[in-house]
Amino acid sequence: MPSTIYVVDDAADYRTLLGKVFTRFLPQYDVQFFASGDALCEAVATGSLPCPPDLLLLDLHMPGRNGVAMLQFIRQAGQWPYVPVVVLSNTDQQADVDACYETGASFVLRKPTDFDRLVSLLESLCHYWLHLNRRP
Amino acid sequence: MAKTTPIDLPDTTDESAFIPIVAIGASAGGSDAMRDLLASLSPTTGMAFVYVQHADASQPEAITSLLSPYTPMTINEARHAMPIVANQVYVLPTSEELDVRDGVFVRVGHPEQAISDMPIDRFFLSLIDRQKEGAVAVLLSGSTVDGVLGLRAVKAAGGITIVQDDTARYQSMPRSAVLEGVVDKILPPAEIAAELERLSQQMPLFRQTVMREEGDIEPGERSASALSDESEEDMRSILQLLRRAMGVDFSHYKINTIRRRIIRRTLLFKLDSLRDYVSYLRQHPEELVQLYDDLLINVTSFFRDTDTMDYVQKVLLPQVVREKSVDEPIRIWIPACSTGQEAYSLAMLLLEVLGEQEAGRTIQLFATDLSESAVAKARLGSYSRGEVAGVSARRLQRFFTKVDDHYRINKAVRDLCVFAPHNLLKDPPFSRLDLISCRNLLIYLDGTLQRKAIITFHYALNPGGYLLLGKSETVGTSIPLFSQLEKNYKVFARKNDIDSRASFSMAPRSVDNDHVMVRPAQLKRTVMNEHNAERAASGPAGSELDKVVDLLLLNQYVPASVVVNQDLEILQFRGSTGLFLEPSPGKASLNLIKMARPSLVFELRNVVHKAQKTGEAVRKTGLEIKIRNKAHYVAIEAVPLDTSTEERLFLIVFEEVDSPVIPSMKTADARNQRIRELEIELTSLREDMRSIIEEQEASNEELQSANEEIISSNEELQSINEELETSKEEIESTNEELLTINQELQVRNDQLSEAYQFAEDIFGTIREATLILDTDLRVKSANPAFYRLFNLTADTTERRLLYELDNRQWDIPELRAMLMDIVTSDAQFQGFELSYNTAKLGEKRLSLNARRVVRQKDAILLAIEDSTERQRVQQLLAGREAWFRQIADNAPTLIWVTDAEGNYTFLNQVWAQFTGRSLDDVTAAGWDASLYAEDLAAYQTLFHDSVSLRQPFEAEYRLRRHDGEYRWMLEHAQPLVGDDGQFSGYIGSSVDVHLQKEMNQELDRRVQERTTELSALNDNLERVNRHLRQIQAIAQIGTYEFDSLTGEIFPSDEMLAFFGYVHANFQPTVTFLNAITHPDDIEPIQATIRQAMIDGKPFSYVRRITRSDGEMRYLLNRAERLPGTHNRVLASVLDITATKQVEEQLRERTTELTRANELMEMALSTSKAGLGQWDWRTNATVWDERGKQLIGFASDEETANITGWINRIHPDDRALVMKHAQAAMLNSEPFMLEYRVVHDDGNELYLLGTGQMEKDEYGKPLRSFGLVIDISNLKQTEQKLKQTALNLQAVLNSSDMAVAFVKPVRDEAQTIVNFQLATANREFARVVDSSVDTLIGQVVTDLSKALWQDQTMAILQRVMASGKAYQEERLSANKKQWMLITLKRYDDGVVVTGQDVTALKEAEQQQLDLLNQLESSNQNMQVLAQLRQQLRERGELLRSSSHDLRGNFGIIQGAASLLSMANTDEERSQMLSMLQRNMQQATQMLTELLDLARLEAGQEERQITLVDVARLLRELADSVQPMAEEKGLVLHKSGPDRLSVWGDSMKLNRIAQNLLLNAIKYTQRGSVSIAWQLGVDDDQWELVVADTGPGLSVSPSADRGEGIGLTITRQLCQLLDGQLHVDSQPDVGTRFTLTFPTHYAGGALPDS
Repeated sequence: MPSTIYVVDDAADYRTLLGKVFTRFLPQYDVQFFASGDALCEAVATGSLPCPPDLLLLDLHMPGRNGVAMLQFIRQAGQWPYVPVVVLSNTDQQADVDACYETGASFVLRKPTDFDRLVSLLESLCHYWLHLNRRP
Repeated sequence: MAKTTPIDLPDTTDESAFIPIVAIGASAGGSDAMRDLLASLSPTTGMAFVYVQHADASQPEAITSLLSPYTPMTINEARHAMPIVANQVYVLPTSEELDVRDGVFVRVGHPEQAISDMPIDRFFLSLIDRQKEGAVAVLLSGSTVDGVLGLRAVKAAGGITIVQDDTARYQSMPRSAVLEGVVDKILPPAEIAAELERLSQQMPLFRQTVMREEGDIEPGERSASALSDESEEDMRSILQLLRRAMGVDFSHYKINTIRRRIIRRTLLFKLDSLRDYVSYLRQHPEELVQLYDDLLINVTSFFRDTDTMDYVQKVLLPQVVREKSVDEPIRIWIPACSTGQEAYSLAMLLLEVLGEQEAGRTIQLFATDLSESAVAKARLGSYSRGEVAGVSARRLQRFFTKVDDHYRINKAVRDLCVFAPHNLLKDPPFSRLDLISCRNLLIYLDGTLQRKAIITFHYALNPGGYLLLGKSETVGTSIPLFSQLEKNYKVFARKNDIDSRASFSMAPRSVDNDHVMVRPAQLKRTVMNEHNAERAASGPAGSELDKVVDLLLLNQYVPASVVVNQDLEILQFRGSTGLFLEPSPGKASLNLIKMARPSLVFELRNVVHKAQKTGEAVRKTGLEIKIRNKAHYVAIEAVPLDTSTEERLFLIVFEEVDSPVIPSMKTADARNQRIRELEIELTSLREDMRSIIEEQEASNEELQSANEEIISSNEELQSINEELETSKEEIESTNEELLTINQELQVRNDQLSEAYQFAEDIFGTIREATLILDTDLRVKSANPAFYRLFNLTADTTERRLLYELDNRQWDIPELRAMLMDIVTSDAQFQGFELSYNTAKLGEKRLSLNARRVVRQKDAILLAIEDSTERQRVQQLLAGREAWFRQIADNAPTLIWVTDAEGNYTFLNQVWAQFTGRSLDDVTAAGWDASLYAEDLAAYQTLFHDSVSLRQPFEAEYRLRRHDGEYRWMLEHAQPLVGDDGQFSGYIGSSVDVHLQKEMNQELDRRVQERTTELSALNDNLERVNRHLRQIQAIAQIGTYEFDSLTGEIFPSDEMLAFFGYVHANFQPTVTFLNAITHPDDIEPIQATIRQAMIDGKPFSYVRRITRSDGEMRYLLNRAERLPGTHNRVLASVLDITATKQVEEQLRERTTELTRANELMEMALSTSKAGLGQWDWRTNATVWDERGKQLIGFASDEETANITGWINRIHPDDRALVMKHAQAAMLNSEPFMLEYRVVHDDGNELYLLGTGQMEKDEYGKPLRSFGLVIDISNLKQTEQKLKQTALNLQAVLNSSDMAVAFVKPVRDEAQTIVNFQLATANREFARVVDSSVDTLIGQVVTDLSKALWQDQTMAILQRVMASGKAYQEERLSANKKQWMLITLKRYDDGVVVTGQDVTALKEAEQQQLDLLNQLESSNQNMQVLAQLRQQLRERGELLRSSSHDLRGNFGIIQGAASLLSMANTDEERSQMLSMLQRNMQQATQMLTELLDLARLEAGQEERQITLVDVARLLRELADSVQPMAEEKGLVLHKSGPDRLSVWGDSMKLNRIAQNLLLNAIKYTQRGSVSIAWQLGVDDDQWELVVADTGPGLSVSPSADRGEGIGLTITRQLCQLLDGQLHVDSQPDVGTRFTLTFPTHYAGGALPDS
């Protein structure tokens, strides 16, 4: 079974961009996109998701539930305490980064503007979390 | 030991002296069992019974009395020195410890000594110890573990042990004994008694168990003993059987012990003699095992023999430890260890002695016993409470673990001990031992065996080793081998210089099982070992010669040899193997390799291996062993043995050979020969080695695989175990479920039973006979009603076919068919009528109902209703009805009946005949037609009213007869009401009353005629009367006639008018008259009348009456008795009330005058005024008393002249007074003046004099009346007041405050028209530019110029009316002076104060200035804070917009890169649109940022024009309407149609657009609204944009783009001097309220 990756980002273009990157460079993963944290929560609540993902890429600034609220949701008891959550954001605010780690982010990264760097970042992220990292 | 002489059967002289003692132990619940036992016990058993009751039970006396009723035997309380007599019962006291010695109770120990808490054990043990005579021990109910040790001892001593079975109330004591295996019989008390009796009958045999003194009797002498040969023979056979079966020869054990135990068994099997037992044994080989175990029973305990143990611990063991170096093992052997207590005791002692040093030491404690069961128990190491009784608490805690009821030896102790079955006398002993403890074994052996044992010990011990024996044991004849170390404790040391001659017979240990028949394949004669010593046992006497010889030969001449199995375990020894073999150190082992001398080991293994391979004998010779520096040469031969068993056995023959001849001549031949030999040997060795190695490798592999198999199977076992665990849990849970289900079922069952019970009860109670039939129509059951009805019983009914019942009365084909129908087609029937006729019951009408009911099987419920009675009643009813009809039809009246609604239901025949109509006719047409038309309405009303009220009624009417004539009928109708109160109709009867009616009418007519005549007469009379009344009325005289006898009065109308009555309500009686008469008048009037009646003279009186209208009238009556009568009076009445009233008024006026006089007098005296009168004509004066006092006249002075008064007046006032007096006189005015009078004593008084002149009708003065009042005090007060006012004025004048008091001036209507100045001070006067004196009395309107001008009055009036103070500060125009003017209401006036507050005012102004400064600096602070906030916001804004730009650029980059890689047009266009979109976003953001920068740099300027913002906003809203619709939002606009203000239309548009677009963008559902309106003040207008979106987030950076838009909006708003207020709630919405000015300074100019 291919590893499953969930991407939560409110910017449609960014989702398209990531989608392209995944189909072109990392086609071995099964990627699902969610336009907002609320959309993911709703999917979880209705049970339409088959299983917890193997990796979750999360935007920080979103309308509705933002990244930190999503992390609280994901890390709450009975949810997905062990799913690696990588926060991808444009922020350079240290307070935001701290808040992410406090609520249980696995990684907090700045969205690269350079395309090649974006590709290589995603490759190493997937490699690290889906192959090197040992899950509990 | 017992001192009794040997007793035996025939020739015993003191047979009677032997009394078997039955010891009975019991504890809780034991006395009941004892009672039962005694009750069943024969009193002549010849035994003595000793009853030991546990200490915690009741006292012996109590027990004695308790038991005595149950047995004829004497029951004694045992006492010291009491001899024991047969057939008596002894109860052992609990207060002291008694033993039995030689048939006498003996006290042991000091009386004060603590009593053992195990009295039963103690007594049993002591009994066996001291008495040693055949004893029987019985243990009854009890809750302790007492008695177990005692029973063991009894059994060991050959006694018989019996315990109570589960009839015991407390089972713990008997049961623990049973568990211990020391019990022979388990019986209820009664059977114990029977068993005892039986034993007593076997007395001769029983007596053989008596232990005889036999210690020194040699086996040979036994023939001399009193035993009969026969008995001896039997004994021997038994021993032989034993030896054959168990491989143990008991013949050299002390024969008496053995015998006793054998006899015990004999007794137990209820056999009469040993011979019987022999034959029993032959038939039941298993009994041999029991016997063997019994024979080996031994008494042992922990730390037995305390003294010795102390010695061992304190001296012996430390010595042993000391003598050994640390690395040498300490080796101890305990032969005959029984159940291990001795071994464990020593182990514990050793551990205690070693203490800390124990760690490094190797300790080997060998404990062996012949009995495997004992060894097994020893290995277990688990002991009961009784068994560990001798262990101190400390040791118990250190070395034992309590498991349930048992104490288990700890591992530390257990690991030191090695337990093994071992025959000391036959098996090879252990060797190199440091200590042997063999206590209480030798006593069971005869001399021969004792010696052998001692020799074995000597052999086994190290030099200097120790031997520990029992108290009564010695080394006996083997003294040279040991020296006694300590006399008291039987400790011996091995003597080293003497060589013991131990020899071991190597009989196989367990021949009984395998019956291995050994057939040596090859047997060589060998030279006997020089150490081959004397044989162990002498042959049994009297055996066949062959056997003896064989044995001799075997022992003497057979070479030393052993039989081994494949594992080289030695099974048998032959000959003396001592030279070649020795027991190995460590665990006792019979492995050949371990036992063989080291130099032999290799070759032994080799030859056996070869023999196994080849199947032939292999021999190896020339092996050298060195023993004590002497070399021996040995040859060994391994011979495979063919046995019937699977296992291969080998006979290993050892042979000592001569030393190989060393070739003396060194010839080449010999050398060559030697070389060849060596080469051959080498070759064979190599071959051997190779094969061995190969085999070893193979076996290694096998081992490996076996190991793996073991591991795997181990794992399998583990998994199986886990599975088992799981299944166990499952089973448990299933069990739980089952329990629950069971419980549920139980509940259901209860419900079911209840329901069934209900059904049964109903079935039993219903009055209808009911039958339950099965499908064969057999009666299943019937209820009591059925039996009652048909007089049947259950026996004759149940299980019978229905139609067989009651002599086939029920055999009714129709019924049967119907019932069968029910069975076949589930039909049912009801109300099947049946006539049932029997001689017994008569005829019965039955109504049958049946239906199918389903119980467990189909059944039919048949209910039989007995309708006989009902039908009878119905018939009766019909009969009665017929009667009634008959009666009704024949009665001479018309009878009718209606139902409840009033419809006729019955008309009798008479009715029909009378009217000629039938019931049907009436029912159809009603009977109205028959009624006379005039009567109809009245009758119908009556009828319907009565029906509705259900009342009886009576009517008369005319009814048409059949011939058409109407006849008068009288009708009575009665409502029909049933027993239950139910109204059911009317029954009526009518009678023809036509004749009576007509006669009545005739009568009436006649009466009428007479009446007319009478009334004409009456009219005449009336007229006469009227005339009379008119006369009376004119005369106002009432007349009446009075009958004094009857009290009747006949008044005229006039009289009644006086009374106020009319005829109608006047009761003409005296009583009534009296009632209205004044009560005071009644009696005199009656007296007058009575008098008049007597003298007949006319009389008169006045009567006061109360008229009907309540007024009282005086009536004057004049009366005279009617001439010629005695009782009638004619009287006239005259109303004299008016006269009376005038009299009354006169009297009242007089009274009033008197009272007025009094009042005047009182007034004068209270006012302290004097009254005087001056007659002008005479000049005379008259003064009353007070007047005199005041004027100064002496009380008695003549005051007749006016001059007296004038003289008294003060000379200064005299002229004035006279002037006033004259003036008053002239003007006829009242005189009033204050004047002073001087009294004679010089006192001066101020008087107020008043006067009034009276004139005659011509105006001439007649006289004056005057009053004088003393007002001296008043005058003084007035003076004082004047002074005070002056003072007050001074105070007021001195104040620098202007003060004035004004009083209101009121007009007639009490409205205030003006105010008058009452008081003012100088300051006030100064203010109003006047002087004080002129001011007072002025009205304020004159001063209003200085006050409030035309407001003055209004202000004052307001203060006056409301009572509220009025204050005003006023600046005087000229003087630059501040005045504070205050108005306050005071009393009935207003106080006006004016104060100079110029200084105060100035200070206030200063303070105000300071405050303003503060305000402005505050504003500066706020501006600063705002600036800071703006800076922060701008930083935030820049950051967030840079994030957004970053995001855009990231996507632009990505899209650009992807564009170059895109494969399809679609993808390319997607990328392009993405690029475009993000570039646009970025551009827009940059534009906005630029805008913002321009705004902030102040480059934007406002272009103020007149704008219709309503139009502007409406158009804007219309333009964004599509966007809102696209998102499904509702856009509200509200505001006035026109709203023209000054403003910058471009910027307003931008602001509004910005807000609206944002609102639409971020609102997902709901509505967006825009509203405009003029503000509260006209110089402002308001713009409101609200949405139902998510609300503004706290951090502006979270929402992209919004931050910058909002910031621009803010800036624009600020530019337009507007104010922006945001009200936002998460998830509710956001509301922007903007306020702009409607005009700007110089707004009209476009470029300002």
